[in-house]
Amino acid sequence: MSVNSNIKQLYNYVSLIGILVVLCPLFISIAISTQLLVFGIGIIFLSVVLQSLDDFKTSATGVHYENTFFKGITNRKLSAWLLGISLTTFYIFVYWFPDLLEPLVKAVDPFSYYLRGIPADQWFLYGTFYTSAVLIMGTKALIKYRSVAYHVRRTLSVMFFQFILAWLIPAFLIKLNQPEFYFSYFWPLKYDYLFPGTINYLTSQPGALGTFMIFWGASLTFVGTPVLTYFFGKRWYCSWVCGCGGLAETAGDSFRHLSSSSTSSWKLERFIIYPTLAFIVIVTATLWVNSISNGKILGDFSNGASSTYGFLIGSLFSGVIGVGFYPLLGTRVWCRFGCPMAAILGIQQKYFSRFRITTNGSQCISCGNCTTYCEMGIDVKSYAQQGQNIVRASCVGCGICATVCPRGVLKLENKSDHDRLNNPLQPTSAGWKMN
Amino acid sequence: MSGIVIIGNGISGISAAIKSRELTDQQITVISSESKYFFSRTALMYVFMGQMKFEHIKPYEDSFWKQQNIDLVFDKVNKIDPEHSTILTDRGEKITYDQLVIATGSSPRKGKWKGETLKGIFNLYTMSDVNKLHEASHSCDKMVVVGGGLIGIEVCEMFASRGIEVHFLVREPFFMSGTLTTPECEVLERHIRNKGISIHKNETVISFQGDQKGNLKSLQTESGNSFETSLAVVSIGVNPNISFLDGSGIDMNHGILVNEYLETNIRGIYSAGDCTELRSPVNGRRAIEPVWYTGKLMGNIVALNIAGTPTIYNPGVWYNSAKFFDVEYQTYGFVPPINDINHDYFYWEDPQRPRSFNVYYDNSSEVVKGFNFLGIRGDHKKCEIAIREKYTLSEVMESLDSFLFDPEFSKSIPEKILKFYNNLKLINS
Repeated sequence: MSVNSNIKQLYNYVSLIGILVVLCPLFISIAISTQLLVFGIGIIFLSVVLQSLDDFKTSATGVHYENTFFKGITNRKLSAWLLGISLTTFYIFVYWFPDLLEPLVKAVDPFSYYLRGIPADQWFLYGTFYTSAVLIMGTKALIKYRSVAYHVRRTLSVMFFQFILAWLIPAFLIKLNQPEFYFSYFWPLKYDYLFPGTINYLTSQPGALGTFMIFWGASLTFVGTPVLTYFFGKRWYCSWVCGCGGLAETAGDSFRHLSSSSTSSWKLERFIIYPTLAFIVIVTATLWVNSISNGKILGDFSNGASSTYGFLIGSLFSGVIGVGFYPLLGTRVWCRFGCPMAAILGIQQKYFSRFRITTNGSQCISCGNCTTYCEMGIDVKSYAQQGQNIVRASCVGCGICATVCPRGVLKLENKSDHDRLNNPLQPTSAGWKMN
Repeated sequence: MSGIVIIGNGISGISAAIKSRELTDQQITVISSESKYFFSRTALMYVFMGQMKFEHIKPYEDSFWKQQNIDLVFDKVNKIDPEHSTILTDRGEKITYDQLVIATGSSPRKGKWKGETLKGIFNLYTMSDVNKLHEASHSCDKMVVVGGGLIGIEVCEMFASRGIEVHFLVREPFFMSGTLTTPECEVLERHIRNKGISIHKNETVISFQGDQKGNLKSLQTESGNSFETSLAVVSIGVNPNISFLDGSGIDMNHGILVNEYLETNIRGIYSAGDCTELRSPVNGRRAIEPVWYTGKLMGNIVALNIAGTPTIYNPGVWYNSAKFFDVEYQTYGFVPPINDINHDYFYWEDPQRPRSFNVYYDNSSEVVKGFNFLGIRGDHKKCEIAIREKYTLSEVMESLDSFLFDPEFSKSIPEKILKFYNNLKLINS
């Protein structure tokens, strides 16, 4: 047993060394920073894969969550705080002190030249780290969840969208002298995609691609999104396509149980997410009013509002708090409390969608696993124990509740919406009446 | 105090309290000596395994009870005085009631073995048991589970999750052979052995041996085997908690005797859950059924009866569920472990993974009597309808998809079952 736990410790140390190797150009000037970066990421990948194969060697027949609350890193102990502080610091550097990251930016220069034909900046560095995290931790998720087809497909999907649509294609577009464009992000998450400035810039581009991008972004926002959400629920985006969701489902998977499921946090969620949506809708509208009226009506107000949104929501909320606080507040802080896209999809999911989580008769034993492992902090069990289907705006359809349930009570479904909202179980003189 | 008083805050008592609040404005008091707040006993194993903390297995937030105006009393009931509608507690409180619900549950059965009180012998029933097991697990690298039931297998999983060598003593020729057919038992046995558990079958404990300090050292079985261990968990069933009712005038046998309205021989006093014994059980059900689902329904039925909606307790089609390591188990209706001449099993087993599907049916009419699922999720509502409305086996097979509750992208399971069924029909015709 002790040999075994020593090996487990060894994996952690190797990963840590990998991180230090990647970061060492920050502290000492070194000529081979690119090689160190590749080597560092390589050994992190190797140690994560080997560790996962060892940790989840018994997962061929089921997914395991035991010991989650015994490990410091997943139970808000010192190591979790250190990780949270490090992530937060990195985000602060990326957004506001990019000069401090210059040695690392230099390290990814060769990739940037190869893919984009221009030197790297802190955003390319950030994108590279982000994509590496999704791919490495996605591999871990594939090993952990290999017994459940739904999770395997969902994980492959987010890895694909992050790697191809959110990293490779935008880079190639730059190389081809085209606008950098992310085909997997839409307004209002990518809020500037419907700003007049972006539209004007894209239309001014030579060739038809810019026009296609406007068409793509607008049609996905106004047509694709509602149609897909009607048939599949918001999960088609939030846990299959979106990069924020992609990071949460891969790198954040070990922290999903840290989301608070209290009723007060649910109140807070509704208190923040809908005003955020209103905020970006107003910002977008005022920008258009301003653009159409050539600034005569609103003056500088709309630009001020848009940069305030960019700072408060775009940077501070979605980045610093959203990801930096993974080990303390759970993985979906941004998606749950802030994302305006999630807000819209959620409203539709609640009132105009086929998606729901069906409860299996009166099989629930109120154990609490579903609620504990819900990354959105939904008290799933409060519905399941009454035999009620779960129809909630915030549900991203990750499907973990159905997996962690020891009695097979929950099932994600998008059958026709007949019976979607059912009544609670009623006791009768012939047993439970299941409605 | 008056109104509805409920003794016991397990699933039965709490179900009675919550349903009563839905139906009446009467004062509702729940008394428990185990914990102030209701928790899910079925989830204790996950606290031990570090999968959840105690706070996670409380199904309601602490503020819920005040909102619902349900009073919680953390005290132990010593005596009931039906003549004065009063109960007496450990702290000397006298509580009067208009209606009383006894939902005191059960406690682990004793084996009446020599050495049973040695240090190192435990049960798994309460949160305090979990704490004791947690402490004891630090100084052991090997342990023995006595009793091959649903709790026994949970204990195996708990200790295996800490890397401790587990020896599982099963009295029967197979684990679960009193409930499942032999091929199903074999599926489980392979899976449990794959998880590193040593199963010792046909082993009945006769005594425990200790050292001078009174610590468990070993245990002996009927077959003459001896198992060296300092930690054993015994799970050989439960007995109703009713001894405090001696002399109260409430009729009791093994449990508290109740009529079809779950009322005792004394008007206004009801019983629900593990402590309850039905005078005349229906549908071939047992008189005492210490099962979560039974307790939950009983608590609800009691609430209806107290609220003046007379409702008989008739649990309908039997169902139960469990999990054996990674293998989920669901059963609906009647699937006996051994066949008789008038019935047959349609049994399918996956050669690659631990899962099987079993339909028990009448071989002349083909009418389905029950379903067993291992490693496959069955649809509760659909299975119940099929049994109640006497579906035939071919009717089940025609709409097999709707009988399963597996997650999306598991289409291959019904396909495999159907293929097997059609081949079987071809051979038989």
